[in-house]
Amino acid sequence: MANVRLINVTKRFGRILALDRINLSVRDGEYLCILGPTGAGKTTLLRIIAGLLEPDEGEVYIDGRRVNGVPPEERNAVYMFQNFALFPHMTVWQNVSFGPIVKEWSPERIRNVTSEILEMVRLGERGEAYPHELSGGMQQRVALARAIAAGAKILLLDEPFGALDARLRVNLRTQLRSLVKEQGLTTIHVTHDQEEALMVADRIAILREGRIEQIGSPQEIYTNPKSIFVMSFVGGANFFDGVISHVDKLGSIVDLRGGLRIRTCSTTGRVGDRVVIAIRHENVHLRKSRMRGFNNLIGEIADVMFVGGSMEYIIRLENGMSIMSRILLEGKGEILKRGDIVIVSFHPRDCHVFPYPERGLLKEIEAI
Amino acid sequence: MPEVKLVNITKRYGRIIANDHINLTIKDREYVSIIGPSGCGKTTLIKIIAGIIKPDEGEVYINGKLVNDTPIEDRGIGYVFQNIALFPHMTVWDNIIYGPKVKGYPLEEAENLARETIEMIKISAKIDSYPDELSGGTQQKTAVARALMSRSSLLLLDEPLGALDLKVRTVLRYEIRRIVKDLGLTALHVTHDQEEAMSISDRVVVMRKGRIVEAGRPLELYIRPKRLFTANFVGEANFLAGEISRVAENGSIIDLGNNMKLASTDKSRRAGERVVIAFRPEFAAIRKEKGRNTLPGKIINTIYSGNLLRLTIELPGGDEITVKKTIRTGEAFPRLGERVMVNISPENVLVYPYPEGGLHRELSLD
Amino acid sequence: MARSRMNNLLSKLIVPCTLMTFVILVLLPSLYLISYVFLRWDEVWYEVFANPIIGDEKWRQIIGILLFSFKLSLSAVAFDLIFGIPLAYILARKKFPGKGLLEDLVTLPLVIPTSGFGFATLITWTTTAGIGGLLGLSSGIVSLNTPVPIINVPFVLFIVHVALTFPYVVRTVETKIESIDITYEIASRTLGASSLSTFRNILLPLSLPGIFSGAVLAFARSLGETGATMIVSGVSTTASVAIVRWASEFKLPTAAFMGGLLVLIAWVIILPIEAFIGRGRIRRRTRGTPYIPANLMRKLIEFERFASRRLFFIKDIIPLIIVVVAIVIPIAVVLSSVIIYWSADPYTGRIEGGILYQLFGPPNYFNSLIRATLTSIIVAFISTYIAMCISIPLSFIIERRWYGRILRTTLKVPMIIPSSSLGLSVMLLWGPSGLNLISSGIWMIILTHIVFSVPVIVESIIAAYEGSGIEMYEESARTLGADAYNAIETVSLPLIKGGIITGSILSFTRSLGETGATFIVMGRDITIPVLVVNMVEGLAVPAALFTSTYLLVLSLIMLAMIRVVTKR
Repeated sequence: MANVRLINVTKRFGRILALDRINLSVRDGEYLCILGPTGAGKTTLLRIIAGLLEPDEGEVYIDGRRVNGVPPEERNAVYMFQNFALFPHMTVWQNVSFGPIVKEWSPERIRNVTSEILEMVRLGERGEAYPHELSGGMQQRVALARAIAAGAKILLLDEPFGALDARLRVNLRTQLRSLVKEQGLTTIHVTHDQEEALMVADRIAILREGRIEQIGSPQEIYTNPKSIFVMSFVGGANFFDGVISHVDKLGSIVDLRGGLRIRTCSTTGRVGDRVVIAIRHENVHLRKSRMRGFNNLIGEIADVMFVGGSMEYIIRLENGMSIMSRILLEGKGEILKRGDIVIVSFHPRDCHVFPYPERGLLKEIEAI
Repeated sequence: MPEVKLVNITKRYGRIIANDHINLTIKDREYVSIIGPSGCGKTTLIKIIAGIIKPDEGEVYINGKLVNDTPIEDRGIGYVFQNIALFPHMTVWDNIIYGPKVKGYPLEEAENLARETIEMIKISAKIDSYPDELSGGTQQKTAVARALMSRSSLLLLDEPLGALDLKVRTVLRYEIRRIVKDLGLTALHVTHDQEEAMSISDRVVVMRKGRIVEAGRPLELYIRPKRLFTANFVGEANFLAGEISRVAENGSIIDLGNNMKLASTDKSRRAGERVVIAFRPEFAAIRKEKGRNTLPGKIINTIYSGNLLRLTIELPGGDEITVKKTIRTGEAFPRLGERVMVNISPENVLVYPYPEGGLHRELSLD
Repeated sequence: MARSRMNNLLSKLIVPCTLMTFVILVLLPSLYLISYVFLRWDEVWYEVFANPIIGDEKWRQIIGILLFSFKLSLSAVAFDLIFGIPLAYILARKKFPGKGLLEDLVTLPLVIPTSGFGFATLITWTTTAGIGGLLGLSSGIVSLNTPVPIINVPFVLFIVHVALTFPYVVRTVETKIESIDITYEIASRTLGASSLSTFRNILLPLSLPGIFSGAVLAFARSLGETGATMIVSGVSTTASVAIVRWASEFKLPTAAFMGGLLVLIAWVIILPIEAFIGRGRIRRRTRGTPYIPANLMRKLIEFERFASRRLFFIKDIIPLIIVVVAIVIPIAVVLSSVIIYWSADPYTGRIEGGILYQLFGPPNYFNSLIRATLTSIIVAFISTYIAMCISIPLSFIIERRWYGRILRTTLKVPMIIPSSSLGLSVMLLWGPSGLNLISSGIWMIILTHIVFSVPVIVESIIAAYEGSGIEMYEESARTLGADAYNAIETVSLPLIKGGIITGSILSFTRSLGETGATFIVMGRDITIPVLVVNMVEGLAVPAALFTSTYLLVLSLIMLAMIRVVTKR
């Protein structure tokens, strides 16, 4: 129902640069996720769009209208806190009808809208309950109902599932997205959970230390990460540093430690460049025999872990490096054991090549 | 000798029974996780073991010794808290060395131990910092180091990663396991995140409403959950109601209505019984033609999640199921609206008695 | 919309209006005394330092009195800390039946009429109507001027000051401890520390700001205590009592000088400490902690371990005893005395010594009691109402503006400057010797009471505000379409309702019992506590008994109301 545009938005807190020249466009009805580690500036960005905070520089446009200095109540952008912020002294009904009451609609219209929306979120019968009597999932639905009833055009979600159990989150993510799409709301959803973002977003903006590193559809971000940080943060990968030893129009060859050579399809870079090769865990295949056209290395399984429906294997390669492979359990096929010798294969297409980062590799991929 | 033994532990808060006659044994050097939805009683249980809460009934044995009346400080345990609880007025170093100091251990011995532990946890660069100057992950690592200083063999972790970013969580959980295994400790780890528990535990205990539902090795719980709740809580699953139409030597056939039938290797139920069948989304495969053990359906939603594709498929009769598959580079995506056949191997079709309270209630995680 | 435009206008006006009212009604009177001293320096100089008859005798007196006051207050605070900190710990951490009652008992001295309480303590300790009688003595346990060993301060005076300042220490430290996450203590115990060791290593350092704050408040309160002191001081004089005496002798410059000194001292103590505390953490330089030799440390740790297990109950009992002795017993004595003295003096049998006679007979104190009650209630009501109107917007300003902390610190001052100083200041500012806008009487009493009511209500509102996450709800409301004013009205105010009501009741009760300042500004309008002082000085003891009881009962009822409100 509304589009949002940020032009060169900058915000400082004392000497800390929270947001650094952010440029962002959100289309009408789009579901955008802002993804990044804690402290990246995500909440600050959301608050600026809501009007709860003014940028030091730059402009914010909602529906083509410049809204710098416009108070929150005139922006129609509803902010949903992580713990929902349902007014504790009001019933569910009163919470949901808050917006319409403020807008001074007729009592009949208020009643109709409120009951309709409560029905829609399947809480029609809990109108007289108080927030503290409801479960986390229900509270979230009330908060959503409240936002919709208030006539929100833009929904700003600040870690909406942070307060909920992990297992609950998975179910609620898709429900929330459906509801929001049905209403045609433009949604900006802030989170540090990349699985969540990948599942619900139309587009994802990766925010790091106040800057947008990359924006794109979940697919793009996943298959074409533009930096090591993005690749590591979203989906994770195996990273190896090496030196380019050969380049031609089909690809390049990169030398790793201990004499291992990897073929890639990347044609950028020159011989002698120090680079980092990255391969997604799920693109690393473990076989009994070599695969034609693939890079094939011999290794021994050092550790076996079971993670959420997949098996993760850590394989020690001949040159001492370790590589991780993640294989979805498909109910058939054997599970390998520690000590098994396998052939580690990955296709040159799946090798991303990045220039070696100035700050060092660890800085880019380290989480703690 | 089992490290921890709980006998008939019961704790009530008014009319709510937080722990209902819990019996649990944790073996020496085992890494056990207790998982369950909020309010299931797992936190109460771990606090009872630590001595923070006193049980109404039952006994707690640590290393064979009855500790019901032993105060917290004499139980010889290490405890890691969800909200980290590093002493804010002390540096990292002082936090870590607090335990030995406050017990009166000789200073030099304590300092050596501290240096060793700091090396192992890899936070040497930060020892003069105060907690609020550190990132969440580093704070928690420090808290773990602090808990390890008592060199007790039992480490209790109460939602240790709950306050941290997803990325940090996935890395730190392996760190914790590595340290625990390197030191040969016994660990009891409480969490609501089943993925976390599954990835690092030797054994997982599933709790619900004060009782233990099921316990076992992670892979077992995943592939062959014995209870409906476990199937739903540990990983995702598809659930369909049906009726046993035939039981034979090698398994049973379940009639799901609308002309759909599935075979399962399970033969614990009897013909005519009302049941619920379950299967994991990733154990279902998409085929073009009808084959053995297939269900017909129409793709009504495709969600791309990393390299995993989640398909929502509508079956005749209106039920929806989820199928997860990997996309190999270059493979063609199944399209929205396409008609497909969903195939599940009989050994992956799990069968449970139809729950008395209704399927919806039994599956609710709220 | 017209409504939102009006709301907008309102919100723009409210801040400057509130601030202005605050400055005029609250700040100015608190500071006026100091400027008075400067403006009339010649007079002050003349009377205090260069008096033609007695030279600088007055100055010497002032110094002597100040030293005595300091001694009294410091010892009272020290006593408070030793027994108050354990009590604060119990109230903050433990649950037990009767906890609410204990909290109320501790809060009682904050609101009870000081003159009535002073009187109650007096008869408890110095007459046969009190403990002396219970033990079968022919006179009270102590006499008015019996000193406490070592400190050399009159016992009765000492115990009154302890009772009246105890709540400042206990409540401030209790609030501070409550705000400290209990997980730190649990963590310490899991690491092997006994409860006492945990207290010493963890809780004490973290609650130091609260302890400092409480001690400072208690000290200033003691310095400024007038009402009860007037009754029990005997031959000693404290600074605040001296002010009343000199003011009534029309030695205004001297009184002003002493008053100004006290105000200055209050500012000088409070401001730096509050600023220091407000800044945040007290970092323990742990690498360089005072070196305690290893074997001593080990003995200490062992002792703490032993004490944690065996002696723990002691810390529960002793503060309890103190509370009972200092607070409960005097009140009980007064209540029982009323019954004893009802119809006649129990010793001489003379009806003239009975309460009934004094109230309804020739002295006809009943009449003055009714009038005084009316005056007291009107004053309390109006001053509380006006103070509430100022306090609500003021609290919001404090929480939201950058200068809020300075404002809050400034507010602490009227709470602690001697009430007599305050009265004097108000009188000099608004009365005939100053702006000459109001003459002594009921309106000046009201103005005076507003000055100390505002800080009480503000602190109460802020306590409710900071616990409630208000800002988050307000922001939600704003993004849902409510403008600032609307959001405050529909969301924030209901959420802090409890704080507003509690603060108002507290201030109403304070006002009912206020003696010191009222004494100076009252003119011919008398309030109940002042009546008590008059009765005592007129040796109409039974009447004073009755009136004190009357006042105490009223205050108790008020406190009970607070408990009912906060329970909801």
